[in-house]
Amino acid sequence: MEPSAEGGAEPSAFANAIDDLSIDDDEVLLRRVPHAQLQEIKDEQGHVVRIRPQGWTFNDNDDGSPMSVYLRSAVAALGEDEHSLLNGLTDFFLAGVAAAVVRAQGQRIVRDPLIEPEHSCGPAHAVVVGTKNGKRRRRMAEASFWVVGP
Amino acid sequence: MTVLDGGGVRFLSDGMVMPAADDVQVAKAFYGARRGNGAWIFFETQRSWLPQALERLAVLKQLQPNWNSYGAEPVHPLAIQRAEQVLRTLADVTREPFVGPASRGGVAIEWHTDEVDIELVVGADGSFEAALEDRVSGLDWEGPASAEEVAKALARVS
Repeated sequence: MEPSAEGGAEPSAFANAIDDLSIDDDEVLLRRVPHAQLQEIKDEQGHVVRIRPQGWTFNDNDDGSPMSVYLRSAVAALGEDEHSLLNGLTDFFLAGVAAAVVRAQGQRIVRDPLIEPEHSCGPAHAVVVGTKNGKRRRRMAEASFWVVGP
Repeated sequence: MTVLDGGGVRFLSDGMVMPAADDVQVAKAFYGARRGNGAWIFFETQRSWLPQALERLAVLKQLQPNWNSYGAEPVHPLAIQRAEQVLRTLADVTREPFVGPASRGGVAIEWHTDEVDIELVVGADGSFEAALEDRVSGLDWEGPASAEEVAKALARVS
């Protein structure tokens, strides 16, 4: 797919997209996380045992287009620093989740190279296509880890 | 903490005075209250999670368009209003919930324990959806929710 400057292809372009198996299961998908979506996980005594992204972090976009991610290996292959995905953003963090985890939740991963003014990682952009109910979102959030953490 | 069971009162900490030893309704006006093990359990309201939850709502209210950098809509005032009603109703009835943004201008109120995950989502139009995953019973349900269904789910985190 050719890069676009308008935030990726239309949702319908991905309706029948197939999972890109050239993306390895151990590929790390990078997703930006704003402060508002940080969730403290507490034990029975109310002690914080973990801070992770809220499940809703791993959802499709509000305009209906599929969830946006960046392929960590592709960012590296571009010679780019993954921290640049946070350029111009305040109180944002970067979560990673393995492609295998996402696929286990019935999702398909499709390359969707972009041209983005904020950084040069656009060619590493991909989308995660598939129905995302609460349980699936939560599974992805639970399995995620911090690349740039709070 | 004070436990009222069988019409009697047991004081579990010093310095708490029950306004009417056998009157649950009066006591509830002075303390947070929840049912536990067949008894009413009262606790000091300054320990309530409600102020923190309302602070979270205030933060969500300030979110601007594209707050997540992926084009998210701001949280809708009606969703904030309804969520506040829910939180005030549930204050100290349930464990402390997580309050966060949901998609398309909604608010998510969530409880997560080792046994159960519950999400109550207030939509931008004020509607409710709920999701329950109960790892003990195997119940796994999600969809538009009636008050009865929500109440049944919340009993698991009360």
